[in-house]
Formats: sequence, C-alpha cells, structure tokens
Amino acid sequence: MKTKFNGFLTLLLALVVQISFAQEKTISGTVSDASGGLPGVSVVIKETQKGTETDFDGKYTIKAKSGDVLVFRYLGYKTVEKTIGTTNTISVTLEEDASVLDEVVVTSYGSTAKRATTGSITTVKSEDIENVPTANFAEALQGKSTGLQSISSSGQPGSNSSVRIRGTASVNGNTEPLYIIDGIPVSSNSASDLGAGGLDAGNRDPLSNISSADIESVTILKDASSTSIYGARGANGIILITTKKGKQGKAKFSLSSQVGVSARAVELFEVLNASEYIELQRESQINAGIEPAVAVLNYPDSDDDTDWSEYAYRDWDAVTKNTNFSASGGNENVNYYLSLGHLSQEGIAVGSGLERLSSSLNLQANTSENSRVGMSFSYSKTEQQTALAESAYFASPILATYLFPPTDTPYLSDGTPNPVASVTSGTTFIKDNYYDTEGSVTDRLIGSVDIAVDIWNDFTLKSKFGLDKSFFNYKQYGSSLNDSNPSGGTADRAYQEVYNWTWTNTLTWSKTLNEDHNLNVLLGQEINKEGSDYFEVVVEDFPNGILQNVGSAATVTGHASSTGDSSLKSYFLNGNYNFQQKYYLNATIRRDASSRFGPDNKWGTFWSVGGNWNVSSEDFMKDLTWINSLKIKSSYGKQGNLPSNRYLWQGIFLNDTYNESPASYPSSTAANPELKWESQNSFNVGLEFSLFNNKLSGEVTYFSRETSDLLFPQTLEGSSGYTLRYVNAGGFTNKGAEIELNYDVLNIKDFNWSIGGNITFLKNKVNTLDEGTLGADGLYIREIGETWNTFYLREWAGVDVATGQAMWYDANGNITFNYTEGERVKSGNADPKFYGGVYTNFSYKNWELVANASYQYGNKIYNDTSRITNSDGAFAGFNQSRDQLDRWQKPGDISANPQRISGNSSNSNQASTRWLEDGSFVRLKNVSIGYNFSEAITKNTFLNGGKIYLQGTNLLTITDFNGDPEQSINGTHWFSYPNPKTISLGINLSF
Amino acid sequence: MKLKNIIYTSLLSFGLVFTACNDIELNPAQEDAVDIDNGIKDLNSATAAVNGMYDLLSRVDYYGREMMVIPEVASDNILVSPTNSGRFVSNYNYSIISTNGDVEGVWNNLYKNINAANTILNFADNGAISGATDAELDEIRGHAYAIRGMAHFDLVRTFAFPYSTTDASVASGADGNGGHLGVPLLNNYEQERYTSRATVAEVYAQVIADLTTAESLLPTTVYSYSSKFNVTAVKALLARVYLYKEDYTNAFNTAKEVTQDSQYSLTSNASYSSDWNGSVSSTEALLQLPAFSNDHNGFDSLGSIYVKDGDDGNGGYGDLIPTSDIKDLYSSTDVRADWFREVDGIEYNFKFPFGWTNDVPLIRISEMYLIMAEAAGNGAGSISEGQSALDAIKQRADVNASATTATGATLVQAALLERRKELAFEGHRLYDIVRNKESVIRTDLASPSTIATISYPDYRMIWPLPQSEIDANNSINENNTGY
Repeated sequence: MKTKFNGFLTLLLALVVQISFAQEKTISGTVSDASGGLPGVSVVIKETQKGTETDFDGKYTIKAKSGDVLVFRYLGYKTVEKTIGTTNTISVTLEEDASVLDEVVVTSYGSTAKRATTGSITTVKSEDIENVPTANFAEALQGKSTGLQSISSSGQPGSNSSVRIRGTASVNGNTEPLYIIDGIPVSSNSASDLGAGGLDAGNRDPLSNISSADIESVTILKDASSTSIYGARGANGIILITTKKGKQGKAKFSLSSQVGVSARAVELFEVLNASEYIELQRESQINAGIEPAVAVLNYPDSDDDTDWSEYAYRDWDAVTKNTNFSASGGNENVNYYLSLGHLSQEGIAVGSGLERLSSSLNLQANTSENSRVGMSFSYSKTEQQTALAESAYFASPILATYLFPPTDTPYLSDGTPNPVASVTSGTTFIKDNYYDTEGSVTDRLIGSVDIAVDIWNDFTLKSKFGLDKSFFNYKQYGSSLNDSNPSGGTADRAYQEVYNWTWTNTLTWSKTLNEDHNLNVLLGQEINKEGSDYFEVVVEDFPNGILQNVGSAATVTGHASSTGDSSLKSYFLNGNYNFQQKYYLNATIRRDASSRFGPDNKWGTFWSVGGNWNVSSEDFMKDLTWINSLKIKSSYGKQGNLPSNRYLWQGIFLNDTYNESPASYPSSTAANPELKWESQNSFNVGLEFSLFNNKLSGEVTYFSRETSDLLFPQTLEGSSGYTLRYVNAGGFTNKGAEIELNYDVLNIKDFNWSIGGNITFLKNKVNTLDEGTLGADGLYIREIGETWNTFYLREWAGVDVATGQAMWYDANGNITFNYTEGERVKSGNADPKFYGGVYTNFSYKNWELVANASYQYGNKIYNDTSRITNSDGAFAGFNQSRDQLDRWQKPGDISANPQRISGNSSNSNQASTRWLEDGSFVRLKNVSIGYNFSEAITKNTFLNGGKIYLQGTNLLTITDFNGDPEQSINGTHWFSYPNPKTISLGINLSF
Repeated sequence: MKLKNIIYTSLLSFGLVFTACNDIELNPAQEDAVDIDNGIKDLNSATAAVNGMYDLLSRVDYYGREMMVIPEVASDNILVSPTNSGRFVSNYNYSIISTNGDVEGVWNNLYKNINAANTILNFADNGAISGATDAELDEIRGHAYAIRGMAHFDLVRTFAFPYSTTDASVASGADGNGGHLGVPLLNNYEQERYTSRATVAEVYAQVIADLTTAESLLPTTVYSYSSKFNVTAVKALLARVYLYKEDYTNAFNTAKEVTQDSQYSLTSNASYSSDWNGSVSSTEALLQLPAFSNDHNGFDSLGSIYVKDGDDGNGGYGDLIPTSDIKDLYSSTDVRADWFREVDGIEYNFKFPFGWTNDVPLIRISEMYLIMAEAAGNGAGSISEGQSALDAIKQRADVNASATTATGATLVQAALLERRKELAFEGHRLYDIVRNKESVIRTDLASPSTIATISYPDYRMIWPLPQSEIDANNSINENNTGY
C-alpha cells in the first residue's frame, strides 16, 4: 500500500519535473555493495562537472538527461558506468576491487571514507563488544584501541569504567570522553550523577543501561580534526556509538544467548587463619608490655576458624545470563531494526546484582525522492542491588572479608546473624544482607527523530532532535530486627531524573567539479541541555516490619533535594576538500556558549585544520606493488573542556536553619565571572599503511595535547570574607606515540590466522600551576615539569635486624627510626609509561579461536589496603594479611615486617614507599573458541547461520601487584570490589 | 515563479525560522541556592540572611565550640582527660602553629560572618529590600552592625595583644593606646582584596562605632531564647568592649544601664541550678544560641567535649575535664559546685549537660554586675555600687558568702575571682588573664603538658594569623611576634 502510494507520488513528481524542465529529470537510486548501502560514492555525469555523493545509506539523487552516462566511483571498488534510459531509478551494486581496500568510518555529524580522514580514529566492531558478559560495554574497550585506557575500578555489576583517551588532561574539569549515540550526546558517568547523594554514584554507570548487542560499532575520535567539531566538549576525545540499522532485503532474525559463571579475577591476598591470628595477637600484646598470661586470656584458643570470604563472595556461583533477539530488514524506502534483550548478572560479592531488560527500534524511510526521515528509540529498565562499597567499612563485604577476625562467627546456632562483631559496634554485611533490603530501578529512554531534505541541487538540510532521559528510583529498608538500625526500623527513598537533549540543524553542500575537485561543506547549529533533579527522604519508626514505604513511618529524620542543569548553544562549520582523492583538506570552526561560565566568558571558539596525502595513489608509486596503500596525515586545532560543576563561577547564598527558622549566608567560595573554558591545543601526525598484498597493515601516530587555563581552586585570604574561588591557572602536556599493527600470518583456503597489537606511549607533564596548588598534596607532589600524579613519600628502609624497628631514610640519606624525620622524596608516578593490547584470530574451517590481552607498564600503585592489612599491630583487633607472618621476632631476624606491637605507635604503617608497588600487568581480557555452523547443518533448517562458543574473560592476570592492578586510575588502591573473571557458553543463531 | 522555486523558497524560509527559534537560556537560575546578587530581595530573604549570621555564630569554628572552649583549655580551668582523643591538646600544650586547623577555621569563619553582615548592609542600603518598613529595615541593619562589631572584636582579642599593651617585645608598635597591629577591617561588600592589618585602636574604634550604630537601630524587645541581639544585648557587648579597652567609666555606665532593663534579672539561687539544664532562662541570658534536636553540631557540640553521656541522651567525647584549680574555688554551699559530677571515677564538667543540644550562652546579665565591680575597683562609678554588684553575684550563688568590703585593686582582684567562678567555661578565662596582664598559673597539670606557668607577656597568649592568610594576602607578610 505504502509502496504504491510512494510510486504514485514519484510518478506525479516526475511528471511535474518533466513539464518544468524539458528533458532534464531526477535520477535516484541506491549504491550498495555485498553488505548493503555504500556511503560517499561519487556519482558524476560523464564529461561534465556535475556530480554528487551517496548519503549514509548509499542513496543518491541527481539531475540528468536521458542519454547521459552516470559514473559511480568509489575507492576500493570497480567503477561502474550506467546510461540513463527511460527509468528514473538506477541502483547499482559495486564489486570490491581487491587491489585497493578501503572502509568507511563514522565521524561527528556524518561518515567518511577512511582514506579521507585527516585525524586519528579507531573503530571497534560489534564482534568485539556484543559478547561481553557484563552490563557495561566500555569494559571491553580496554586494549582494543591505541590511546585509550578503560579502567574498571569496581567489579560491581553496572559500575563505572573510567575511560581516558590519550591521558588525563584536567583535574577539576571533565576527564572522560564525550559519548554520542547515533549523533545524540548521552549522559555518561562524568556528565551525570545518577544516584548522587551518598548512594554510591560510581556503582551506576549510565552506559550500563545500554545493551551491547545493539551496538554496530564504537568509534573513538582522538585528534583535533575529528573532535574540534564538538568544540567545548571535544578535549577528552569522543566515543561515537553507532547502533544497528536495518538493511534492504528480506527480514533477518537473530537470537543469541549466553550463560556464564564468575569468580574474583584476582584474590588480593590471603588472610590469617584462626591459629595464626591468635598467635600474632598474643605476640603483639606481649610486645606491647602485656603479661603473657593476660594476652592468652585476651586471645584464648578458639574452635572457630571463619573464612569470611566464603560469606562475602560467591566464586564460580555468580551466574550471568544474557539473551538478545533482533529483527531487521527493509525495502528500498523503509528499513527497520528492532531488538529485545535480557541480562541478569549476579555480582561476585553477596548482595549485588543487576537485571536489565532492553529494547530498541530504529526506523529509516524515504518520504519522497528528496526527503528522508529516521527515528531511533531505546528503552531499558535496570534493576540493581549493590554491595555496599568499601567506604561503608564493615557494612561492606568487600572490606569486612579482610578485617573480621577468623575467631568471630557470622551466625548464631539458630541461623540468625551474630549480633556481636569484635571490630565494630556498627552494622555488618552479614546483618545487612540478612535483615535489610536495598535496590534501585533505573528506566532509561534514548530516542531521536530526524528529517533530511535535499533543498537545492547539492544542498541538504537536516534537523535532528534527540533525548536521553533516566528515571532512577532507590529504596532502602533497614529492619528493626537488625540491632544496628533505629529501634523502629528505618527507610531511605530517593528519586532522580537525569536528562540530556540536543537539537541539531545542519546544511550540507556536496559538489564535485571537473571530476577532480570534491568539496563538502557542513554548516550547523545546535542547542543542548542537560540536568538532574533529585530528592531523598529518610524516615524512622515503622508500626511493624511489614510496611516499608516511607509514608508509613512516624518520623522524617532527613530530607534532601538537588536540582541542576546546564545548557550549550553552538554554531559550527566544517569543510572537506580533496583533489583527485589524493590530497585531502579538512577545516572546522565551532563557537560554543555554555551556561557553566560567567557572563564575561560564555563564548569560546574552537577550530582545527587537517590534511592527508594518499601517497599510494600517486603515479610514481604504481611500480611499488608491495605497497597497497600509504597515507600521511596531520592535524592541529583547539578544543575546550567544561568544568564538571555546573555553577562553578557563581557566588551563592547557602541555606540552613537558625532557631527553627530559615537562615542563609554567602558561601565561602567567591564568584569569578571571568572564569572561562579549559582549552587544549592538540597536534597529531601519523602514517597509515597497508603492505604486501594487505598482509601487513598499521598506523603510527605522534600526538601532543597541550591543555591550558585548567580550573583550580585558588586560596583567598580569609580576611576577604571568602576562602577560595575557581580560577583558570594551570596547564598540562600529554604527549606520546601510538603504534598499531595487524598481520595476516596465514590466509589459505581453510586456515586463517591474523595477529595484531597496539601500544601507546604517554607522558604527562605539568607546565603551569597556581602557586597555592604547588607542593605536597596528600600522597603526591604537584610540581612544574613533573607528572601530575607524582608520588611524594618517605622512603622505607626496611626493618632493623637488631631491634625489629621500622626504618626510613632521613634528609641526609641516613637511617632513622623516627617516622617524622623521614624525608619525603619523589618516588615514581601513577601513569603507565606505555599500555596497549594484543590479539590473535585463528580459524580453521568452521572453527575459530580468538584471544586478546591488555597490558600496562611502568606505573606505580600506592597500596593503601596493605597499610591496614599489614599494620604491624597498629590496627590491633583487625585480621591481617598472611604477609604479617614474616615479622621480626628476635634479634637477628631478617624480616619484611617490623616487630608486631599491639596498638603500634611507631608509624611503621604510615604512608611511605613501603606501600608503593609496581602496577605493571598483562591481563588476558578475552579468549574464545567458537564453531560456526556449516551449511550442512543449516541446509534443511530454517537457520541461515549460527555459532556456538565458549568464552573466558579476565581468566589470567600477570602482575607483581598485591591486588587488582586494573582498579586504580589515580594510582591508589583501597579495598575495591574485585573485577570478575567469567567463563561463559553462548550460542548465536540467525534465520 | 516556478513551482520548484516556491517549494524551495518556502522550505528555506522554514529552515531559517526553525533555526532562529532554536535558542536556549544560558543564564540559568539555580534551584538549590540563590545567586549572591539575588539572595536578598525582600523582608523574608533579608530575615533569613540575618538568621544566617547567627547560624554562623553557632558554627563549631565560632561560638558553637572553639571560641567557648579554647580560652578555657589554654588557661587554668581545664585539663585534658586521661582518655582524651587528641582534641585541643595543642591548645593545652601551647603548641599552636600558624597552620593549625582551628586558627584557620576561626579566622575564616569570623570574616565569613562579617562578609554576611556587609552583604546585608549592601542590599539594605541600596534599597534592594522591598516591602520592608523603615523599622524593619532598621532592625535588619542593626543586626548586621552588631554582628560585624562582635566578630571584629572577637578577632582583635584573639589575634592581638590587648589595647593597653606596652610590650613592644611581643607587639611591635605597642604604645598603651592600641598602636600595635590588630586585624584587617572588612567594612565593605566586595571590598578590594589584600586588606592590611589595622591597629588595635582602629579596630576598637570600628567595633565601638558599629555597636553604637546597632544600638540606635535595634528594637528593645527580647527575641525567643534571647536568640538575637536587641538594644540591651548590644549594650552589654559594648560594656564588655569598654572593659577590654580599659575605658572603665563607659564600661561601668553601660553595664549599669543594662542591669536597669527590667526585662532582665539575675536568676535566683533557687532556680540557678536548673538554669544550667540545657538552656539559660531568657531573663538571665542577653544573647544565647539555641540548639535543637534537628539542628546542632553533633559530636562537635559544646556539651559533647565535656561529657561522655549527655543528659539529652546524646553521647560525647568527654575529652576535657575541670582542674582542681577551678573546682577548689567553690565552697560546699556554692550552688555552682553542682556543675561537677563524678562518672566512673572522673569528675566531669556538667555546666553544659546536654551533649548535642545545649544552648550556648554568649552574654549573661551576671557579667554586667561583674563588669561594674571590676570597673569600680579601677576607679569608675562608685565603690559601693561596685561592691553591691559583686555581692549580688557572690551571694546569689553562695548564701554564706560574706559581703564585700574591698576597694581599689583588692576589689578588682575580688571581681576577677568571682568572674572566673561565675563565667567559668563560657570562653572568658584566657582573655581576662591577658587583658589584666596576669600570668597563667596551673597547679593541676596533666600529661602531656609540662607548662605550669605562662608569664605575661608571652607570645603564646594570642594566636598566630593563619598561614593561608599570610600566603594569600599581599599586604600581610609577617606573623605575630614569636610565630
């Protein structure tokens, strides 16, 4: 019906055109290859200067006369010529030209041929993401792209990954890349604050609401020429997520299912068992001057020997199930993709887990021959229970496992939790999990609509509106039966909405002149608004243990709310020119105004220029047949960065109460209306190559990001009435090199084997800092010319063999037994010298083996956990690491740890290089063995194809670090929720 | 015009309109806090801003705890308890340095309060407060002047030697008339940065001017719980300022005026004990900061530092206990001996028995009688009025106390002794010692302090300026002598 109507419309229009313009008529069609529509194909009328390019879906329209010859040309494909006859539709399928391979990359506001890119762009394909056994696909990016680090600091299902592209370039501004899904910027952990207000915000990454099965590709934009078009938000790089779309052809269905079990990827260390614990405790007490008989009374022999980790973790018992269904297809005017997914992931720590239901629908349609519409919609519902983070101390299984004495017992003989815990008078994770409930539900909608109209010969006007909105609903109930809760029970209820919407209008002009000069110009205008609205109520005193809703409680003990938003208004212009598809130029300018700055400095201007030279297209290269492609590229430009706080420049009144009446007073932070953008000048130069029949391909890049005007709090003299204000006073350089190599080792009939890897060398340096920021800062020193996170610690000199005392080096390099006389020295930094990943793909007939690993070298980690678990008796009642068994007992003992003294006041466990460890590691991120169904299997079934696979994630970690080295981006490790290792079995079917 | 052109022209103009409409607000109003320029607009918001100044007075870094406790612990009324967890030990040891957190906290919080007062005055003086009557405007401005005067006074008595100091060895420029350095004066909203230190004389002149202005603006009626300054409370503070300045005539006269306000009276012997049951009655209290079960400083409250188990059911630190030096001053028939209560073998100070929710008394009518006595001993007013003022306090507390016959210096000593007994733990002790150029003498001394005597003038009798001030203020390069 619809098709008929469309046909009628086409006919009518064609008639009109015929009447108005004599012989000239509009020809349209689709240019595709074996896998679907092909964007960026040049369509030129032979022997004229008239031409166009196909759009993202491979569609084109052009005005021509009967008898004209259309030339379809695209690099990597054989050129096709078609003579115009009576029909107005000419669709062609291009065949690959094996001699030249090229691919399309997604860019901001469009896509382009890879050979045309002037910047550093890495694409991660769906194959690398779709089978990830966790909620957050960002965890799969580690090791897959040069320049990118993705660190999961917690293994909690749904928790954040910290992503850094080419280093950390800000302290008080954003440090995470901008995430864009199908052209719509979305909330990520840096930009939003889901679950703010003390509810473990880091455990709820908005990215974990997105089903990885729906992702077609993830594109990482790293340099000026690819990020400057996002101006004020481009400085930390951009991650473009393209979701799956339908393609012309008959409907395709796919069903995938995966089930896996997880355990702790790394066991931090072993703790003392009961007899060891008792032995060390008695010894420590005796060393502290307590009579041996009293020490035995204090720590009597015990029949109990509790391994707390059995109660805190469910190694190999935590089950993950993931099922996804999709349907896609289309005809020449409409295509569709829809999906439904279900993920349930049990956390490896008790009391944690996530269940997600996700659905999506993408539609695109040609509404006439010169207009198109599209929409995308996704909805997900994520239910989450979180194990309390280490910051909750003994209520957290993560921390309690290591510190509860083995002589304590979790439960009484009647099966109820033991109300007594020897190291805490507060609650314990055993009690919390037994009596109390906690959980959140997050509903998230991401959707967009767009319309494109070809308004004039080569002009296309496009408008797109997109929205990302999350509804976060948190409930916690503390039963009155738990003696740690108030006697009438307590409940906490929080509700939050987070939104981010964007409206973009663009006008593009594409023109080919003389077949040699190709020009493409994009003019755009955009507005964006994001914000969050939150409230929370805490109550006590329920009439009974059944009612748990906050309205049923007698007393409101707390209420809170917070609301904030920010907006951006932008204009941008991007131009691309190439000559004979050999020499490419790209220039961008963008103006952004942000509400996050004061009236004096709202607007910022950002720009970039880039170029490349496809050397291999030159005639003089033709004889060098071993070079398949060779490209030199470079770019330079300026981007901006926003402060993470929305109202940093403002001076405000704070609210409180006095004498039961409202009270307000000016905050201690002074306004700074001159506050402006953090800005970054980045330079990039690189070489892309493909050699020896495309067997060896790769890319070598040098980059330098110079950030300036970094935001820092500046101390004001108290006598001004204020104590600080934010100023632009700091600059960093992050520079380095990236190398990526891929090699097809074997490529014969049944065997295929390829290997590859990438490496990024990175160096951070502080160029300028406000005077007040310079100097020692906690564990670090902030110094011009040094790396920002340079450790500054007293140097540990070991244990005195004669006395068992702790020793440090003083200012003169001599041994001192007095901690305060120990001299602080620069002792390494938290940034790796280099990092990257390696992979291998092997296939034989229908079997395939895929493995990849990530690695990092040369960074230091301050192990704050060890400070507690190797306390030499300072934390007297806590259980300790078995490392403490290697302690000094009598003169002559050579030991790693000093004499244990109960209540040790020697400062031996205070901050020093004793806790500084090498953070280098290699981690086998993923290994998978799969079998693709042969035709013999699918032949007489409804199936088109299928695959069954066994996969292991994080199976092996090689490191000297006592803990999980992947968990600390700033170089400090403190009891964190372990990352999981997972073994899963999966099946993918298509029909 | 051809059809195509019509279509395209309309599409293009549609596009332009579309784009032109696509605009967005870039000056957002916060919903959780008000911009400084919009914070004071009407009577409601101005009243909230006035309350805000008193809320800042209640902070731990001001009268909420530090300014009440430190003058006691850094003199002879307080010992650190055997179970002390480290709080106030450096004050007790006289080992305060310029990077001490309390030094910076008190300094910053007092100036923050002065800034709050200047902000109110700025908007009130510029006619920004709509819908307020002249009387209401006067009241708002009166509070701002009173708070500004109080904070400057508290700064100058904490960070500089007294007005009449002549010892240039500890206070360069000291000439007996406040010629040495005091503290920076913050008198204007958005005052230019880097204010240098005014002399003590200049600070006192400003304090007296501000309090006098406040006196002319504030109402006479008493606020609930005496929670804010009225005319009489400002006069009382002014009497205290004159006493510190050794302007005894004004001190005597002003204190006497306060005692003549019929809204206030000395609490009787019979009611005295119950007046220390969490809140002083508003006839005795001239200014008091009330605390409530949902509005207090928690473990950092005044009561919590003295008692382990508060009478309000809230636990505390019990880190500081009274010296036998002070306890021995009270006779067995003195009603004030009720303040000391033994728990588990240790005698604690229960003058503020509510752990978290004890109101904090800042100025009491009793102090005015003591000012009259001390001023009379120094030659102001009449001796007999001074003697009977002293007896009013002595005999109220202890019915067996004999009538005062002393005159001159002996009367001053008697007044100071009674002052120590009556105003114990209310944040007066160190100042009273120093302004009378006496020495701190401790006979009941606890580990870890070994300092039994601090002889006047000792640089440790006042605080250093915070290092952050010296680092950030281009006009101040040196700290107080000795630091």
